[in-house]
Amino acid sequence: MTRGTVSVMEGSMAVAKAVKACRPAVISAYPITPQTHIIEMLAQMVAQGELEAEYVRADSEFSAASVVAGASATGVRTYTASASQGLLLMTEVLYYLAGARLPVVLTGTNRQVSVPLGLQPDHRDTMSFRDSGVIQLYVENVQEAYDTHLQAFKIAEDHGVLLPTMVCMDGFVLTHVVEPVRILDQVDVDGYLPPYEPVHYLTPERPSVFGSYTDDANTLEFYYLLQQAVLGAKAKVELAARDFRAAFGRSHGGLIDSYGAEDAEVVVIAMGSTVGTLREAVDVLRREGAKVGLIKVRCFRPFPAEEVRQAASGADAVAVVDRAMSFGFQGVLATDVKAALYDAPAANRPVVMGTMAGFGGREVTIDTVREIVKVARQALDGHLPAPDDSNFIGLKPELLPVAGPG
Amino acid sequence: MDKPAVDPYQKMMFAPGHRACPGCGASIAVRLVLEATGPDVIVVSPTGCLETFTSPYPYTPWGVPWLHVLFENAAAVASGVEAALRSRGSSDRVRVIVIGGDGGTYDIGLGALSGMFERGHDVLYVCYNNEAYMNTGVQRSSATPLGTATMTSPATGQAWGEDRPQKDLPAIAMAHQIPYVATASVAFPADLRRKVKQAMAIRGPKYVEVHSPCPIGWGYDAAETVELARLAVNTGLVPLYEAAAGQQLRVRKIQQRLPVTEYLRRQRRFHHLFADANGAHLVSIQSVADGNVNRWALEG
Amino acid sequence: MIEIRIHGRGGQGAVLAAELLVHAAFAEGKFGQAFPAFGGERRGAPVQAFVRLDKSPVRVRYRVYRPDYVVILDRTLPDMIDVLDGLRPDGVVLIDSARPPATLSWSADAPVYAIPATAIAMEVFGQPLVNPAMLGALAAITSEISLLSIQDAFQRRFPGSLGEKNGLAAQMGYDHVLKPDVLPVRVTRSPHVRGVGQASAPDAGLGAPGHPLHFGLVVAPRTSLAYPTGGWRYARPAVDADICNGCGLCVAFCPDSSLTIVEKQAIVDYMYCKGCGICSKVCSRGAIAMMSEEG
Repeated sequence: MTRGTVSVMEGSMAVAKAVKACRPAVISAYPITPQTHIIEMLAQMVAQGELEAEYVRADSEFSAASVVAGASATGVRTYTASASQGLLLMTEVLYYLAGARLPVVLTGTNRQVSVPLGLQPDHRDTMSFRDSGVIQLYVENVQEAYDTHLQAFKIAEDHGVLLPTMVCMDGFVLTHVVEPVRILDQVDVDGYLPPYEPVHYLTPERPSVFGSYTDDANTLEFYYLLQQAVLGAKAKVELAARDFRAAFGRSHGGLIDSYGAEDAEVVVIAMGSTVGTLREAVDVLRREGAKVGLIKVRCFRPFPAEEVRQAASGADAVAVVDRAMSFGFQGVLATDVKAALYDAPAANRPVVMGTMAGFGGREVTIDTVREIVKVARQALDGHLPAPDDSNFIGLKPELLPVAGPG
Repeated sequence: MDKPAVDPYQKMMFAPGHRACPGCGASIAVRLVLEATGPDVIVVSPTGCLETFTSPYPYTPWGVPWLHVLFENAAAVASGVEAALRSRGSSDRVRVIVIGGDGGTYDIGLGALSGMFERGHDVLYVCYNNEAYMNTGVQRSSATPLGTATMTSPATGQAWGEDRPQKDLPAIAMAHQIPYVATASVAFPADLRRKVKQAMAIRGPKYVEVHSPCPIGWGYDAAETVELARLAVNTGLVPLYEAAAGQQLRVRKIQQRLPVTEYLRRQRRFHHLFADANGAHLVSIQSVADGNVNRWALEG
Repeated sequence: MIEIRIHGRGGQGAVLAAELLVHAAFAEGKFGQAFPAFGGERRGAPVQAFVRLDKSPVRVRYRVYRPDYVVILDRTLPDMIDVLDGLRPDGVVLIDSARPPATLSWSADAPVYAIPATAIAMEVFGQPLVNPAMLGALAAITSEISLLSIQDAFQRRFPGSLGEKNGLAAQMGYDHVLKPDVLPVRVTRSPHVRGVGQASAPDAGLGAPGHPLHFGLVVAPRTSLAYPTGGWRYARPAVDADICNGCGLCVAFCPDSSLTIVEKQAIVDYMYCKGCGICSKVCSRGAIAMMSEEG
């Protein structure tokens, strides 16, 4: 039996309620669409006395991240949220938070990055933090968004982890959707998430110094420790999900989740809100006779290479649905999936096909998935039109200039 | 003479062994500021000389808790520290100060500083002003005075060094109507300590700027740091004053005003001004000092 | 290929010396590279510069760990750092010192030339610009580079009379080495390399010196007490006990927190004092005099 009281609410409200239940001491944010509803609701909760927290209305996303950096170094639980350009503006601070091992939790409400300026969800913004040391969890629906925020604090603040943790949820599709969600009682949340106990923090009683510089004598060792910490977080992501299921009776997966992947010929790998559509597509396509399965990468960093390898290596073909690309190369997730599968025995190493689907906010429907699976089958049969690792699914040729630019 | 038997460093808030250049004005400023605040503070510093010479891992002179995050966000970080102290219920006992250079304050950190002021955080922001980016090798900042030769405002050809007047950051601070703004100098320790104490007695955002000579960047013998700081004040180029809520409170009067050339000729960064036959630029700089004297009524 | 490591102090010209060596070698049709060890160090702090000279282009990109020559621009440096680290068995050391080098602390057995570069510089420039005499001496010791090339390199960098003075100082350093009674002194390894003093023990833990790296780079307070900066000093303040009345003005102005008042007397902690001379200037009674460390 899954716990919590069901009510219908907007995704942003669910996130605000989750954050409130986690009792952050300091919240700081700067408004940007589609993050605004979350921070507005938190501001109201603080103003109405429902949430006892310092709410710092920052002068920029950069300052918002800096405020929570200072607060976290002072030993309290902190929260911020942003999207798109705002996240990019926080970049310098987020790298710092990872290096300084400050367990700030933030929500990345995914939105495309300018130019073109637009509001559509894709993963270019949050995936730009791939190499920062920030833990990233991608959610597929509002319930998972709610539950994962609770888990995020638990993961971030684990004394073996102590890393900033970002919950990534697709803007509008999840932040502005209204749907039923189970909200836990405060006492249940308190039982799951104990108060934050910092290992070191700024206090005159025990003075210490944060933010030193290093040189070639010790920087490599420092990076080694950071890599160990981020890799070590894998077990904690799994543990947080297991504990959550034990306490509340539901799970959205740990590092990954899979659906019909065990006996699938074609496995689709995706992150975020497209995963829900893909679940439906698996059922539809299976009814149509196609042995299709799904792997959800829930934790993008640390990357679950071993888990993906195990879950995908039985398939003949893997199609990766990417909402971010490294221009000049290919989809970001596809690159990682290929790297993970490179270590699989050659005999059960599937063909991997990258697809740019849900990119630029272009929606992924059942038909999109049908097309992806079709292309994957063509790839299997050696009928790929070109060795293209970045199939732009749903591309409108009629919008493209006839000649190239210039 | 040998070291005294009692370890004088046991409780020191700013210990020796840091790596500032000999004669560093900023180091004097930091120690004097901490003497006035006492040990119950958390210090935030932006990137800069102070950060660099006090934090080569694992060596640090700080005897008070100290946090460096980045270059452009010290005021925002301090805002967060202060918010956290409030939430911990220890903001009565523990106070937050920022100590940073002019680059991190006047230029790259100005947005964050303005945010900290207008939100009303209980933070004392101390800017040690050495009038250029010294940590990176002496490039001009918006605090660089008129006529100064730096690596990016060279005096060569027709160029006579920095050709724009200094940004008036204390005035910008005052425009935020914060409860206390003061300018001070490492040449006048008692005055500096008093101003810091005054600031600490007030709740809310405070700004204290400390004029801090830099032997390397300014080009003078390290022994003359204090003398040059004193000359800067006594020529009227660095007015020392206090203000509250946008209104001038009091100024430190100049007993016997000296011509700016007395100050300028002792620094390599101004030598080119004296090679100029008609001395027009020296006249411009003298008029900056005269303007200060008039505006702040520094004489009489 | 020969490899040279130059030890100096910030502001002393080690980097310039390295650069000019490569210019000189290039003028002779050779190849080379010169580069400093980058760090956040400041004026007076120990710095290093590295030089490689070869008949063909130098391709390796790392510091000189096994030098053929070690050039030491300041005779106090062996007390602060291991200047002979990695010196090749047939390596040679040049140090600026008017006195025989045997009294210095060394980490290895090595032939050492003492070059009175400061004395030469004072005679020629009236300032301790030790580079030209040291490089002139190096030209006399190694066949890799000629005196003329070094003099030309100085002349190109400092056209006019300053270049000529540099050329003269280089000649004097060169001539010094060629004097019949000047021979390298074979120094023997000291039992240990001395620090400038026994620094105060810092608080243990939290990434303090000698402890493992802290995962978040958090550091305990006042660990810099284990980093004596007294070796940066060129001149030391000497307090005249009869004149000093312990007013404390010098303490207020000391940038290095190295002055205290004990029983109405200013006490200098030479472990950390960098010798800036501010105390001497601000003392209203003239009780503090600056004495040369060489003296």
